[in-house]
Amino acid sequence: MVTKTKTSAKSAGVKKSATAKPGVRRTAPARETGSVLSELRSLARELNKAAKGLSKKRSGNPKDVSTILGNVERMTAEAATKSLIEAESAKVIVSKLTDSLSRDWSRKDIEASLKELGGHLTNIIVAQEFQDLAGQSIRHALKALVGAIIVTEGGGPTEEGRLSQNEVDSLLKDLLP
Amino acid sequence: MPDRTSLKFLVVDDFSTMRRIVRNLLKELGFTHVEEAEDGAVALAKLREGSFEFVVSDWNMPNMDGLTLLQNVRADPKLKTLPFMMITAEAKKENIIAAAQAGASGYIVKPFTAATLQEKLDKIFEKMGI
Repeated sequence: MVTKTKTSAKSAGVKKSATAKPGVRRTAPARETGSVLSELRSLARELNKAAKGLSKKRSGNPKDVSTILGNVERMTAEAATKSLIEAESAKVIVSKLTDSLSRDWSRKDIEASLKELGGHLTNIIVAQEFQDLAGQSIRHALKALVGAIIVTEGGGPTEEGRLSQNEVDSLLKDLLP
Repeated sequence: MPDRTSLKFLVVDDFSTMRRIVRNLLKELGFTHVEEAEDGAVALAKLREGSFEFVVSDWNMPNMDGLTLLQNVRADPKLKTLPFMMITAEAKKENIIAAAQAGASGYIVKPFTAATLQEKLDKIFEKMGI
């Protein structure tokens, strides 16, 4: 079971530079759910620190906000990379299982593979918890930038004027040879 | 008729996560010869050195953006016929028109699905006659 941990933002501190390229680090596939959880907890702590960096005395400083958002970007990219690594490992197991069906196979081996597969899927689910903390930090940053604006659900300003894939397709029908 | 799945792809995106996602989707569709570049400048150098047969590129990237990369590809006599698909969050009318005028072969807006990627690739292959 995945438990949601929402922690309040209070004090300051941003651990790593916002200029770091997001998601570049390649980690080896985490084999144990425990180790993934531990890494995510560590990332969550960093995010909490980032959110806390938006304390009242510093809020509204675009440089601080930029640093915090940079960290959010980096850490969410790391979470996405973790998920992808887990999914790739799971796909390898599925492929091996499928191949084994046409050869000699044993119930014991299949059960072990399924257990391993379940572990990877759990890790993917756990990794999504990160979005919650990232979302909170982004809302803090937005509030700091624009004052006491309450961030509401729904499309932001970047949605304005965006075309859907169908609209793009029909536009291209006239433009492309 | 050449085998589609033997085509050599170059995936260009400044986000390694996105490159990884596109690479995975291409693999799912049977394309295993995929290389990556983190921006347009690196991509152009790779394209001039290597024997790539298909480019999938983001728009917004540091050093050289996807549109400039496309313009450079179309201006290069050796590369000008390369199929070039944009996959980008830039989805305004002026973006689509600029990409079409620069010679994009296809345009996918993010977020997208594997089915959309397959459909757009199929359309391009159809035009290429493979």
